[in-house]
Amino acid sequence: MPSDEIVNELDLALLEAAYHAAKSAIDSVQDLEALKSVKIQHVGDKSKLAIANRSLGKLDQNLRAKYGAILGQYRAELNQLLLNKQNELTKQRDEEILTLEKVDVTLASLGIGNGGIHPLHSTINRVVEIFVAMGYSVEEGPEVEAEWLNFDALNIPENHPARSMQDTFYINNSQSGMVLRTQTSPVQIRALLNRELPVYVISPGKVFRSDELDQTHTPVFHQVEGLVVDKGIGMPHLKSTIDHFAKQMFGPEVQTRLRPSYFPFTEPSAEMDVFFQGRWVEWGGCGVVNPKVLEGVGIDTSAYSGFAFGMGIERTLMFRNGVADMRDMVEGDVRFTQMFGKIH
Amino acid sequence: MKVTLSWLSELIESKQSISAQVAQQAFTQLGFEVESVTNIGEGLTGPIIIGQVIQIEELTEYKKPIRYCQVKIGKDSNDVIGIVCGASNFDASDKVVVALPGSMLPGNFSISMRETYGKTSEGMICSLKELGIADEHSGILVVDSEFEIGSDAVDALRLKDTVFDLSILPDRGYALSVRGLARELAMHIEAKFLDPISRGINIEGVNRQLELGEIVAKDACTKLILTKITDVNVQAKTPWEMKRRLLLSGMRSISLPVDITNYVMIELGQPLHAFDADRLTGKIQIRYADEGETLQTLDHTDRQLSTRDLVVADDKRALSLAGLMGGTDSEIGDNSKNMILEAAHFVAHQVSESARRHNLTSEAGRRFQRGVDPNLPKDTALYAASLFVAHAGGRVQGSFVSENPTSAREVNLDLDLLETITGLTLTKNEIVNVLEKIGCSVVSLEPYKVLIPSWRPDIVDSNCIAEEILRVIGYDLIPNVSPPVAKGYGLTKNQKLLNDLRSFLASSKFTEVLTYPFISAEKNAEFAQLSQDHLVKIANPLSDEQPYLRSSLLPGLFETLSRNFNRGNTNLSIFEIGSVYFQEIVQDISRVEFPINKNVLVSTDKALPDQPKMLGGLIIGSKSENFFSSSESWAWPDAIRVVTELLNLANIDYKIRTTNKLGFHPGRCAEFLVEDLELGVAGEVHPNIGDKYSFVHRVSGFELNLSAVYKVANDLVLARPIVNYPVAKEDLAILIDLDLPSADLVKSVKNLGISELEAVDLFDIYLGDQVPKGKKSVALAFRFRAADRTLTSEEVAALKAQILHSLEQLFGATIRS
Repeated sequence: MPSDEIVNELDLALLEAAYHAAKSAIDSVQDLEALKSVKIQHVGDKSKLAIANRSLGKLDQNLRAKYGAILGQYRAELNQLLLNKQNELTKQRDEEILTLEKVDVTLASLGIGNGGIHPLHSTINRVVEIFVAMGYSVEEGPEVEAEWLNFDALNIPENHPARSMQDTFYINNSQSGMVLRTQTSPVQIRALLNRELPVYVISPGKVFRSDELDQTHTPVFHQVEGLVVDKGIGMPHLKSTIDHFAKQMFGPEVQTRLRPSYFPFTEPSAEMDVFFQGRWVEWGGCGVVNPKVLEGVGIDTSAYSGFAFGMGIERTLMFRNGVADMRDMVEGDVRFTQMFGKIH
Repeated sequence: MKVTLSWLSELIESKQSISAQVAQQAFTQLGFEVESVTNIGEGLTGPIIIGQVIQIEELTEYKKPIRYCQVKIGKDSNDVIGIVCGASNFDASDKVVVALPGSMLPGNFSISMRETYGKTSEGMICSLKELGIADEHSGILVVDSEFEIGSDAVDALRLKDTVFDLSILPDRGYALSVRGLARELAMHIEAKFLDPISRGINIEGVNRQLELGEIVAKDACTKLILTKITDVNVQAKTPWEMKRRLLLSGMRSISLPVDITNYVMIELGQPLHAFDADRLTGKIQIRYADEGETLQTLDHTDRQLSTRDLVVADDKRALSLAGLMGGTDSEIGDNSKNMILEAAHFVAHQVSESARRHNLTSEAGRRFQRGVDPNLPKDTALYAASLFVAHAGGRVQGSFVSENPTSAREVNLDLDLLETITGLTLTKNEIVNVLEKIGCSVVSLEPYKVLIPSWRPDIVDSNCIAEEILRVIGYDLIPNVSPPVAKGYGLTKNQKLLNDLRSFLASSKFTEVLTYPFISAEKNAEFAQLSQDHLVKIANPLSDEQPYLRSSLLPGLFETLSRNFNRGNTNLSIFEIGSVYFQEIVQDISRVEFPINKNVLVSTDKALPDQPKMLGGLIIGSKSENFFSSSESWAWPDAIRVVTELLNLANIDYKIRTTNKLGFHPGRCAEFLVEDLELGVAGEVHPNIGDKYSFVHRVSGFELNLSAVYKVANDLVLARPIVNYPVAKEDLAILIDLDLPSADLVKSVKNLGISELEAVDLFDIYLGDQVPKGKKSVALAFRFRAADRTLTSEEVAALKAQILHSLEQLFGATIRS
């Protein structure tokens, strides 16, 4: 076998030639497949240098040391060269693959984005979050409501125009004692009857009035009302709460003002205005709860007093978010809801 | 209520004139919302003078009548100019307003000398509209003869003024008068109010007592003053200043008698009515109408009177609807000479009731409904009679007076409550001072007793007094004080769950919509198995076609789906959260007596219709509009999957089974239950319904009863330890009946109670040649793991065999070889 010859005859020249042949083969390799066969051919078990290495044992000690050192150096050098080549070619191949795999990443971003929460509900949620953070609870009640809860309990007299069939939907017949609630105030009466004092509640919900749908009216709309009944409650507490609420709702720069007004269920009563985007906007009504209302549900007015306020959610959405037409909110066109996204 | 600044100022003693700006600010602060401010005569400049027409030449050669007038504009006999005029409502010697060249009229209308109709017109004779006083175009303005020729018409006729249009709150009847508003304005600017009823009018004959009438309905009429005035010249002209004030107050000038009654009403707030005395029979009576009685009111409407209508009548018939409107029968006409002037106090709710019954609004009615000062009739009658004497040559024959003196009302003022409500610590002087300004007087200090003036029926307790004090001081001065900190219970479990469900749907590409609950019985019946008697009906629906309230959300959602489709939104997944309504039995809810307690609420709630909160959704079309990702379509599995995920959010261990639900595909509808409690349905909508709306694709949908979900929702999860011994995975293929629901199979395996069984999943269903007819091959994958050791292969094999054995027992399953 030729390799035996090398060792037997101690032909250093042959060993050197084999080393150089291996070195130039590694050098000229272009891909990982070729590198594999170069490795087998030049440093594999059957390569000249491997065979020579195995033959070392047959030599006497002096020669073994001399040839062993030379062979060891050749083989170590070649292994290092192979490793370097391997790394270089692997890196090159990976880069090629990654280049080939390049895509238009923006494509995947297209056509997403359906789905959304109706802005009336996200507006209600915003209000709810503000008041829950202040310790209020959220009270709910039925939409088909007893007339006495919607009117009588709120000190609205029997001959009040709001009770006419032009304004209020009656259930079954005009004498049934049931209406579609015209305000969320009956929920306040429910809260006062159901809860222990003190009471801190807000009541968002759907209300109904006999108006035809147009740009600024809808027969079904939403209100949120707030009610506090505690010891020593008065207008200063109302004023501070409303002001805080408005700033949370519209931004810290807004101003609020109260103007005298009239509601059967509050005394004193006030209109609340918000100075928003350069103008005063009427936002809602409020006042100190009329003691007749509290006495009507058996509350001791010598110890307790309260305040209440209420505003329309549609109106709030209209001026806060610039909705110009009431119809957009009620027609269920998905494009309207989707504008507002999934804001909760 | 329209009111002029000049009229208000006349009732206020003030050294300086009151500016429009101050008045506007005052009204806003005092609670009279200023709807508009109009500056009358703005833009009126230059020589505008009183002239006298001395000669009229009719120019007849034109299509319309044209007059060429010689108008005297000064004392000198040479001060005559020629003016071409298109109006013909004046005679030679009438005094008119002349705008001379160089003057400007409102609206940048400049007057110059011009050639027209073959003449030189050296100015213009003005109408009320051109002067900016009223919108009426009934020819030019002819003024009273006492105005001096050549004098400045703007000054003489008071053509400059400010008109406020105020919105008067329903509890402030007193403010529907110049008297009421001037009192408030005087108070605000700290000037003296000159009460017009303290003018000390005295007319001859007024104290002569005549038996002219009587009050029969004493509960509804507390005061009646009838004044008989004879020899009235009804054709006499309304004095200019009266006319000007009426016009600027938004009234028309009709005739002197009507103008006088309106003028007095606007100034004092007390409505009056004048009857033609020669058309009356016998005495005037205030009584309730008789059964079947009729009356033609001044708006020329024939009215069928009710026995609850209060009327002013004579011996024979009703003459007017008390406090609302007179009748044509006894109206003052062109030939009337003698009259009876009625000034009465009618009870507010009586007038309101008749106004509503007859759907009749009038200036008088508006005032009585909001409360008129009950002490006013006598002074008003006197004032009006004096005007008839002064301007219409009338002679007062005597009066009839019937009055129950109204006792003054006292209200106790709770000072502690006042401080609580206002947040202000006020001295006794401050309180007394404010109360006196609004006409109250403090009659005792220990305890505080406040005497309420007759025109303020709205002040009944300390809260009302607090409002008055704040109103006078200004709401702006109320301090800001945070309320006590509330305990804070947060949202309820159900409120949180609802938020989560809504957010989940929005994040799952569902879009929330809101629909009206109004529906027809037919539409509702598409999805709801409910007889018409159980639907809740509206007595006065907006549309007769939709008199019911929905008992399912799906019909309304279908309409919304269709509307979107027609607008080009074709890939849709929508949902709505809202109430539905139905009633077991129709029952009324009676009125309650206050005070009430919780029991009353409980029994009321029992009588109200059921109003569960529902969550419904519909899907159609492609799930994604992105061509790059798969363009899968919405279909029945998605509807079921969504409900499954929603119920998982609520941590509910539900049962699902096939059901046959109205409106759904009979073979593609699932029902979700916990024991017998129905949570909802999901599946494919019956193709017949989709066909009605011409949908090309099938629609799927779901409806969950949230009120039921709330009952079984669970927000507390108990943890199990996480075990790290190795897992053993095993598969099993079995043959079972084709109809066996897969979910039942999986659930029954879970329910075996094998503690080592960590999970079971169904991963294949096969129906092929090797599977016998009526059977299906189902492949299940199990994950076994013990909490305390590594399971041996023998143990795993035994567990698998146990499961197979149970399935054999339960469903007749056989292992598939």
